[in-house]
Amino acid sequence: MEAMNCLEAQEKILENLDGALTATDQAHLQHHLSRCDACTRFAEVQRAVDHKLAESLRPPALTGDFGPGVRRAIQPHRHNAWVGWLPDVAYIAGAGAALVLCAALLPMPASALLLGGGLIAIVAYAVEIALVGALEEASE
Amino acid sequence: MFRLAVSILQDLARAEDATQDGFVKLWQALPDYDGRAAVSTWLYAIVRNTCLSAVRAQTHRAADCLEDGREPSAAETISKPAEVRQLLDRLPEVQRQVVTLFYLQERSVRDVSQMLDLPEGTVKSHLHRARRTLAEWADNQWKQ
Repeated sequence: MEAMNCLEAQEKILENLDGALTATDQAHLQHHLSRCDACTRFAEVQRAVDHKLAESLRPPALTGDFGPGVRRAIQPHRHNAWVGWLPDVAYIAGAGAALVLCAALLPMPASALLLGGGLIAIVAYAVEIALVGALEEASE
Repeated sequence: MFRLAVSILQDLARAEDATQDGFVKLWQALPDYDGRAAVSTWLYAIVRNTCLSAVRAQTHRAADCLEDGREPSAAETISKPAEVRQLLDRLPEVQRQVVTLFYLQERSVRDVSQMLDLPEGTVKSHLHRARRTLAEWADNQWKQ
């Protein structure tokens, strides 16, 4: 079995506490420890400190107030998500209402012309939104 | 997220506040999320930054208290025995965070690495240096 010096043995003792030591390394380490009092003492103290830390540092729990607190804090921001959309929604609703009213009031050929124009405007608006979206994505 | 905040702030009440702030910031920043990084990476970064702001604010408050001659108020610290607190207080900030998180995350080096945004090798190296310091100090204490 390949001999291990104290520096290597101590590093393996620390790795063992991380839970990352292979069976071969374990065997080499045990072999070294069986002949080295200083490293045996080092291993004992490390195990004792590890045990103390593991015993004291347990996962803490959130208080019952946490969930409702987050919901309360998030609530005002929910409305903000709509702010960006409001001009578009108002524009489309207003334009749609004006279009329907004009088509209802005007005589037949004029209202057909108006509806045709309105449809072209809607298609142009949709194309513009798609183009702006594509350009923004490309610039990122 | 809460455990990460606890490891940085070492104080349950402040960690809970920071976690709550983290969720609110996440909610506000969600429209800007571009999907390039994992959500967990993004979340941990938000909590780390929130905690670091809290640490800076606390440092300013403590300095103001000292200038005014007042004692800083005692915070509710993570519930660990005085001996362990004394042990951890001897470590540099980053080592204390790594050690605390390592045990809170049930000994997962990978989790600690992701949460603190450090390579696994660096986490192990901090952990080993911290263990050497702690053991040296504890050994001296126990001999007395």
